[in-house]
Amino acid sequence: MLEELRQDYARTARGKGLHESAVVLKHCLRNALLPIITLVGIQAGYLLGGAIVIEEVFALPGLGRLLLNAIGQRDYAVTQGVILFIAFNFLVINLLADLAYALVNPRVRTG
Amino acid sequence: MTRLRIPRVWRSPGTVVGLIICVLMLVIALFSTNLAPFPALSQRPLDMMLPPGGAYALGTDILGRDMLSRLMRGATNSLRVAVLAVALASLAGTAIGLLAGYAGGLLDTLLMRLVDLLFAFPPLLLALAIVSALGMGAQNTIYAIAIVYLPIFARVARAPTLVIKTKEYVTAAQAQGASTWRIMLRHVLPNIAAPIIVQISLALAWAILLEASLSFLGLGTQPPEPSWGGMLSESRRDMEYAPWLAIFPGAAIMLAVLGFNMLGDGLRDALDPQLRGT
Repeated sequence: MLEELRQDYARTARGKGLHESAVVLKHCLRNALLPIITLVGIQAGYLLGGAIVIEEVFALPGLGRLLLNAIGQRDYAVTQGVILFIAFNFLVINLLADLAYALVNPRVRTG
Repeated sequence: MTRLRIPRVWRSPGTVVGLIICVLMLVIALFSTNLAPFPALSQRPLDMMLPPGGAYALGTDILGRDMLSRLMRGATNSLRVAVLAVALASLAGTAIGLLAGYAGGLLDTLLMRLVDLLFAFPPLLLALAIVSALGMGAQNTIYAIAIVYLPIFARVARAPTLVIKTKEYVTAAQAQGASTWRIMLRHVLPNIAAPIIVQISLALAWAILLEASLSFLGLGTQPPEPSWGGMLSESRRDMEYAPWLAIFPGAAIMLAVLGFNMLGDGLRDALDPQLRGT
């Protein structure tokens, strides 16, 4: 964000008399968002994994507990199902992150 | 008189602190049996649940085992898993990345798609899946963590290989008739070593955390052998009236992860100026 505010296009936007909030929100924030979106995709993976540990700590009934119980009982069908389900969610989140890329930054839009 | 020159790496205080923590942890892990005041597994029921202080510097657990000794033995177990896993991951990952990057073409596509496949799973989930398939225990935890971190090393090795293989000195070596293996190992590998070394330090921090998570969930190091994650898990029931059981293993995990992260960040700043501050 700090770097984007120093860019030439930010100066141009201010130069043509735009309100400071328009410069910050419409011009700079869009460009500064790109690395944040990438991080959201990666962090989602740690979050889904972390949820398993958290569910165990606080004894919450959820997918993580289901997975751990299934592993403990060597219930391979349930283990496989839960792991594939969470992995699928992770992929969808990353797909959405990639699509959000094009939403905030028209430069990466193709065709 | 010649002045002592300190290499650039060690000028940032964070790197030095990180290195000191890492060396301290490794020394404790290597010599835990000599350094520990009590045997880590011996139970003294009369001394159970003693708070820190007195004969037991960090208190005792529900079976009267000395916490300090168990933490030291835990360092041995946890760091052994982390170090071996990262060693496996970095060796195999670098080999795959180097081969894919240098060979190019179909082999590159094939290897990197396999790596992408491993990337599609969240790290802890992939480790859980592998451990559940192979069975519980420290040995399988090593394989699980190694497979989780293999794709990162493959990518970190492949990207600079693509750049290095177009350099003139590689063409010169090819013209001299050097074998493909020789070019990869003697000309390309030394030039891509810097980012891999940085990645090893950072991966160690994550591997310690992952080992702690798996042991916490009861799938990693099996009791009575102590590991930091396992000790944290055992402490949960008695946390309210014996907080030292939870605080010290937690602090040990935090300190180890912090140390390897600081060392990794420092090395990255020194070896790769472009990434500074990220």
